[in-house]
Amino acid sequence: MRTNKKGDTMYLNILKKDLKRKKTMNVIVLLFVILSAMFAASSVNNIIAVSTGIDYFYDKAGMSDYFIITLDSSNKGMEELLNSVPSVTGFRRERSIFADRTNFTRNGERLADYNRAMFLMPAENAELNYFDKNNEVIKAVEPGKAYISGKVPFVSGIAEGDRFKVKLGEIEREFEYAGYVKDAFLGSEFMGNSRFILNKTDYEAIAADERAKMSEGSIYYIDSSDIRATENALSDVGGVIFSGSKDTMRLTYVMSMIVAALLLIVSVCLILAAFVVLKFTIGFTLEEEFREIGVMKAIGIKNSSIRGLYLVKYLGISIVGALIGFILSLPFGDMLLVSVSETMVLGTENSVFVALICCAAVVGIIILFCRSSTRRIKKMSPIDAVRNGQTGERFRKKSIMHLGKSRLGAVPFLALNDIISSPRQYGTITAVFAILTMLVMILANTANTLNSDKLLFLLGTTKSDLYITLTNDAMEAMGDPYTTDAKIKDTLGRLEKTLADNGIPGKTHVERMYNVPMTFGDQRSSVVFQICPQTRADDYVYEKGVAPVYADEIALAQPVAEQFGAKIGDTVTLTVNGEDRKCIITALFQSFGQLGKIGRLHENFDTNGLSLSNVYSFQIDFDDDPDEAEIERRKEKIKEIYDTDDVFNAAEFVNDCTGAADTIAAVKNMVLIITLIIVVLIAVLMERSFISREKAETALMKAVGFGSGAVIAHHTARFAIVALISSVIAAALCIPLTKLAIDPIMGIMGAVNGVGYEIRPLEIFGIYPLIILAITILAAFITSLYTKTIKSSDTADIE
Amino acid sequence: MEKILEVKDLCKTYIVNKRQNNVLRNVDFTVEEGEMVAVMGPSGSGKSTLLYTVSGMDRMTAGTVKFCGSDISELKDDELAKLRLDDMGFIFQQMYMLKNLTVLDNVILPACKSEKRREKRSETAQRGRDLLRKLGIQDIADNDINEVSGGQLQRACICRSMINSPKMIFADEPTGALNRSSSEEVMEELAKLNEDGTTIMLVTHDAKVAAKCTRVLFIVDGNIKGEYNIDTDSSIRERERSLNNWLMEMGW
Repeated sequence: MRTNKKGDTMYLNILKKDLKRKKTMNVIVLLFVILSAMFAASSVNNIIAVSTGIDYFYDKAGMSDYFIITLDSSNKGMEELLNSVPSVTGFRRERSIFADRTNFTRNGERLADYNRAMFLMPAENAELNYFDKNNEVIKAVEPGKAYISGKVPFVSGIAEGDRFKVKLGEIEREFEYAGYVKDAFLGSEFMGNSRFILNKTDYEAIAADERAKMSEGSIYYIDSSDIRATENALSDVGGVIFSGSKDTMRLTYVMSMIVAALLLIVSVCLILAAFVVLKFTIGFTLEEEFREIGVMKAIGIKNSSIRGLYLVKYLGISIVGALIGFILSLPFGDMLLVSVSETMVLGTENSVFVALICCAAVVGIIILFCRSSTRRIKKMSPIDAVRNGQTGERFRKKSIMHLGKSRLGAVPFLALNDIISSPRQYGTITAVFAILTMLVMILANTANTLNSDKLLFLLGTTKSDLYITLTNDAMEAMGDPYTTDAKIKDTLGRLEKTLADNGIPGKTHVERMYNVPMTFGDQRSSVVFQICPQTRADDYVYEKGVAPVYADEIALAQPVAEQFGAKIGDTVTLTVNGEDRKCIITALFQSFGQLGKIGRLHENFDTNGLSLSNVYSFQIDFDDDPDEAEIERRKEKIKEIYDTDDVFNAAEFVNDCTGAADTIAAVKNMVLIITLIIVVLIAVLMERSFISREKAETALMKAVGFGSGAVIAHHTARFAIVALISSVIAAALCIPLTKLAIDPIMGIMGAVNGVGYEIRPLEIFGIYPLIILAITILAAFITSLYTKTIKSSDTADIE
Repeated sequence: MEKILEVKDLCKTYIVNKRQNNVLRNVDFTVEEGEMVAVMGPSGSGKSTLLYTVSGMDRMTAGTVKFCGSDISELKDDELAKLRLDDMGFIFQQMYMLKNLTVLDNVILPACKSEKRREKRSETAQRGRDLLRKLGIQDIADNDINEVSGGQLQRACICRSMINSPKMIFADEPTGALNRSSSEEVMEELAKLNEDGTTIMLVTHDAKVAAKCTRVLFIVDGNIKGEYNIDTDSSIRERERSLNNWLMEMGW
């Protein structure tokens, strides 16, 4: 562009005047640039942080290749075995006292009603890096203080500085809560265990008690050159309560990854929404300027110079917007990631650099938008431009509806006609609203499904009226493998008697889990098998094949079958107390249990002598088939009888086992809030730009006798219709899209063939669309009040 | 003849950059039913402001304006809107219409909004078509507004101003954006309306246009400097000549 000084001054003056005169539209473009830059920068950062999250966290924590938790505190036998396995290249051991919620109190009450194993550990013995909330490695803990990982701090609501007591055997000690600890091994949602990291002196004082000593075990972090060989070599180790490889452990972060994946979807939607609206806004701010463009063309200014003028203007706006967006993206990104980052150390070292690149990309994209939008300038003759871009040739009729034939009132007709006459304009807004509404619906469907009995079959249990967790009885049954059956039978009998004594008789049963070494071909590994003698194998759901009918038939979850390369009809060998038993695989199923790596034994399989590794909650089926309200009443009664909160109905049991519904619901609430903010922003900014653009029409409507109320109703009705259409689209698409988006996530958890979703019509098709509709109408209504400033006499001032 | 518009001590003041600009200063005049009054004057004299203020499109600073006996300064915005909808018609220099509607829909829009007549939508549409036919533009009824000429559009605007059978039509330079032949056609239509009994007040720069009226108000610096009654029995040429003479006397 060749210009002289005089020309430069002229352009500068035009620019200055433009920025001043078209303040409203320029501010709107600036706001959308800010939004786009903010979303782009924070989302890309989040995508990077989350996708590399687990590896980064594991690296920082110093995680090993294989893990074993044993109830054995004497190191010798295990150390010898590990030293003898060629594929083991090294190992570390942490001492830990195993406890449960009954061992921890605060102000005389239980610290947390959270039903997972808890671990006490001395900081000085740490073989992993444990991080505080600021991601600093905890190297030492002051005497009398304790850090806690996992869910206990969230469940208990404990705050730093609060005091709580630990009582094991005869020893009771009081601790001050020093803060949350990010624990790569046990802190994930799926592992769900809380680790209490203490000073060594405090730990030794507790461990000195005889009963505490009995509960002391070891956690081994094993480095291996061949995981499969190591797994095979260690498959017969006794007293193992957990074993798994690093890859398996990665899956325990599935909930964090699900949350991250959902945030990723949210971020992408937000970026798309902001860009689409931005492109549209730039397009129509340029349309507003066609007259000036025509005048410039008419007086002989070159196309390139005219385009340059607008490119400079939008470059300036986008740079300012991108800078503000960059600054805002830092806290906004943190807010998006808070649910993930509070339990994991995420790699965000390069976040500022990444955010800057994203903001620069936003500027680049805006300039591209602007270039494509100003391309029309080249094609238009000066007079076309003066006619506001109309060439005079029209091949498509703009007016599709006819007032003369319509039964609608003048105001609703005008609103609907505007939408139909400008499909691209309103289609864009409708699409953005629909995407955001669908996002909320999909998350709500997911949270509701995880909080319903739809997923019971994935937990390997049958549907019962109530589920009760009896930890002490379960722990006792896990002691001697030869008395397990009798002890469980005794517990079930006592439970039934208690129910009968309280006038609510019912049958009881419980799912038991055994770690059984399984061999197929040259593959040998320990597999967790479920069995329940009180139910029949065909009470459960299978994906392929038929339920085991005989004691020597088993069913396998699909991931286990894949791991062993086995299929239906193959015979595997299970080793029970040194005795090999041949079993035929008759069915494959899906399961969340052990992340899908589980099997089912026939109810007549002889488990005598097998070490029980876990039991599920004890299930109760009342004899009189009570309705839901009565079940709820009985649930409260049983809670009182057993003095426990761990009595659940089927849906609550699923929620308790997956531990995911609350997290997803929290994400859904966050997305709902973000959606509402975006909807309000779009409604306000678009409505404001419509008012600016339609000033002439508004003045005319007032001049011919439309009152302010009618004009406001016209403007508000357009957004109401758009929000309504988007709600209908979202409602129509939300079920298939839920399946499309969430089935792969369910697959990660073990439901490889997808699940049926819990759709709550009132919530999904009623509450959320209504909230979004109401907020849209409110935002559009409040903004449209600005039309009051347009007077009928403004018709005289319109260019 | 009854007075349809009574204007007394009408003042309109704008504050621009903290400076007071008295656009209308104690204007007094009346318009009787069936009259066709032209307001003339140099640019910036306050012609359009006078038109907008007496028609209730703009608020006056002081004075009274009575339309059909009721003081419009006492009416609320919504009451004024209803008055404009039912009893007044407006024609602007630029042929403003809603771009998403056809010509016919633009014409009948005020009728669809008004509750003056209880009629079916099809009857309203038929009245719109009748008006378009009356002004010779029935063929463009279903056209988009950018598919028709300026003259046709202005005639459609006249139809819109007529659709609710107003007591009075206000026109702000209705021929200002038209060529000579379109301008004459539009003025003929307005004259016919007036002959049919509709009171009209219009602002114009054009003596030829004003010569078709029954009376001319000449406004200078916000004051009515003079008033000229046109001899409607004389020929149009004679009217134009005598009006031009009077305008010259007024300093035009």
